[in-house]
Amino acid sequence: MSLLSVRNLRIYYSSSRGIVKAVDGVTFDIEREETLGIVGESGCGKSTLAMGLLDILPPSANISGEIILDGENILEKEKEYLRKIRHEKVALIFQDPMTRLDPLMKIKDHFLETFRSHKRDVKEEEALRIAGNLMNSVGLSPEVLDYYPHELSGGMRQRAMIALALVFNPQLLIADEPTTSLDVIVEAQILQLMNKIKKEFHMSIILITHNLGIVAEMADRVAVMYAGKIVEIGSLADIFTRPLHPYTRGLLGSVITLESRELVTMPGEPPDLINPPKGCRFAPRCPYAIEMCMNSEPSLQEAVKGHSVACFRALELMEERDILYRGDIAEKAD
Amino acid sequence: MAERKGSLRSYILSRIILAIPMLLIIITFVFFIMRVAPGDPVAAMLGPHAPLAYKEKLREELGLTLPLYQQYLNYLAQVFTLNLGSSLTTGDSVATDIFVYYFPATLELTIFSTIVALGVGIPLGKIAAVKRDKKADVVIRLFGIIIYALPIYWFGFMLQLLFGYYLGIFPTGGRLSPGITPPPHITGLYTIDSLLTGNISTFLDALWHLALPSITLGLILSGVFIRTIRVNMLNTLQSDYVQAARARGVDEKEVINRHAYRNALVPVVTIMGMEIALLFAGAVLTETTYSFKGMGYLLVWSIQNRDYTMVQGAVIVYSIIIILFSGIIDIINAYIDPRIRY
Repeated sequence: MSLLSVRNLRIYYSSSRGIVKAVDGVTFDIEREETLGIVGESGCGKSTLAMGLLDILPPSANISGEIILDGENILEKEKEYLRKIRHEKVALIFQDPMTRLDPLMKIKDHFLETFRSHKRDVKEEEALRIAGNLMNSVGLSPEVLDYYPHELSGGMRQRAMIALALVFNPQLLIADEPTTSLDVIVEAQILQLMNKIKKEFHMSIILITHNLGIVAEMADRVAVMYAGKIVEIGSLADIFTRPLHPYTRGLLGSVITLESRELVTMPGEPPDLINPPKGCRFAPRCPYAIEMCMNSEPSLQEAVKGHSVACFRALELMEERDILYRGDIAEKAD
Repeated sequence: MAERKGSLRSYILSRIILAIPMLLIIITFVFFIMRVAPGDPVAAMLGPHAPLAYKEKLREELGLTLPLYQQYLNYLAQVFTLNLGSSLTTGDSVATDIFVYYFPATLELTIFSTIVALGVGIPLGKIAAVKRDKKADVVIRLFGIIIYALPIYWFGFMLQLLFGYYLGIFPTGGRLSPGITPPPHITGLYTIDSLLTGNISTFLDALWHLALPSITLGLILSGVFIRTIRVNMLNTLQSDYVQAARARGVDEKEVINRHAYRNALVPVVTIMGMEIALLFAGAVLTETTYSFKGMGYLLVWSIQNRDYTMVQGAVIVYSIIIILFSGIIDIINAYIDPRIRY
């Protein structure tokens, strides 16, 4: 049984302009001790998905579908059960560690508060001892517990956030753009740390990012999101060497390498999530779109074992794999 | 730690140095405005029918016949020796009158008003923020806006009418009932002095007299706190650290009280510093309405009687108090918010 199975998850925000379909029918599984990378552009619903998995969405959001954790659909459970699940089974670390710690509280108070909320019977000294050990394992001195958040650098804060996430040894760590606000050297350190603790604590990780380099380094499997939907999901090798969806190809084509002579971008903009296109959401930007793509929506189907894609022409395009991916979208733009 | 204390000391020092030119300007303004304004202290003292020669003699005695600049320089010299002079009308020492009798009364009123303002404003603001756009929020917001817009004296009269006249629950004025002797002077605050000397019945009587004035001023000021707390809590409730706390499975009560509320208090303390001036201005109107003999009552009376020295003395004391309190608020703020260092 998978650790977490998400089935047909929909998260709609009600806004003054209409209903924003931020996450629209997302289905995926994550196995134990696996890292799943979720990639996509800004605004494709990645972060909403992360919040949704913990059900900590703002009141304007409406969530439906199934989130099955350890065989239980947590969306059917009462509030208190959900609250316990958060952090005990599923912990979340965020993009901007600068603003995620309460500026009026010392680091140790964040730990103590977390213990108070989940395990009342743990004594303060015991909690601080555990916190100190965790600080050691994320490469911080236990003395940092006595610091206020503003006294720490961005990298130290993210380490502290990770230590905090490990308090109850969660089975799943959701990392929402964990290194986006950090510089490259600190980024590498944090990623290394995440790989280390994943092994140490036997966790699964959902890594949400727009950075394909990070995914390549960290993930076992990759899901590609576009406009609130997963358009392709498969193993790291599948996605990077045999991408099937034209959007995935476009994403990979946009990566800058030393050989890039010019920046390759995808023409067009992601669609409005209030009034998404009727057919395939990528169709208006897709160089391979045919009439069918404009009228009906492809569902996520297994094309090859363990590699699913939501595209009518995926198999057809698989044949033409020799096409140089880089530039095949740029050509169309000319 | 040592470094922090040192910088705090230099901060306080710079506040004091900055206060001196500020006070000088205020003294100058009050001095000339009082003398430009129509009216004459001698006429006010002796009445319209006093003989002219007698008036002239008194005028000379009080130094009012000297050229204006000479009077101004004399007064400045006097103030710099920390002497506020004596009242033109009663001859009492201005400093004694203010510090022994009138200032403690105002201090007592402002303390109790602040308690009412915070006691009403903070919980209501908190409820309004948590119940955003629900019925409770709308009612509380409306209350906050209306109460803040009410003229103090009108509101005071209405409370006097209702609780003093019709219901007869509270006295309509004064600091103590007739026949009750004020407690021996220790701090000048009747409630504290009576408690210190163990006189419970005087304490209760003083409290009973403080009730309506404190509620009047406190409720009007609570409007500001309701709005500030509400707005700041709406911000902190949507902040990243609140969301992160929820993601950690922290109990919603703790999320609201520990994270959202405490962080919302930081700007509220700053606003309190700015409200000090409003509080004392409100105290003037409240004291007049309730014939509560504090600084405001003294100031109004002295202006009416053209008691130049008393008005000047009162304004100087007011200025010093406001400078002092806003400095104290700054220091409190530094203790609440670890990010602020002076």
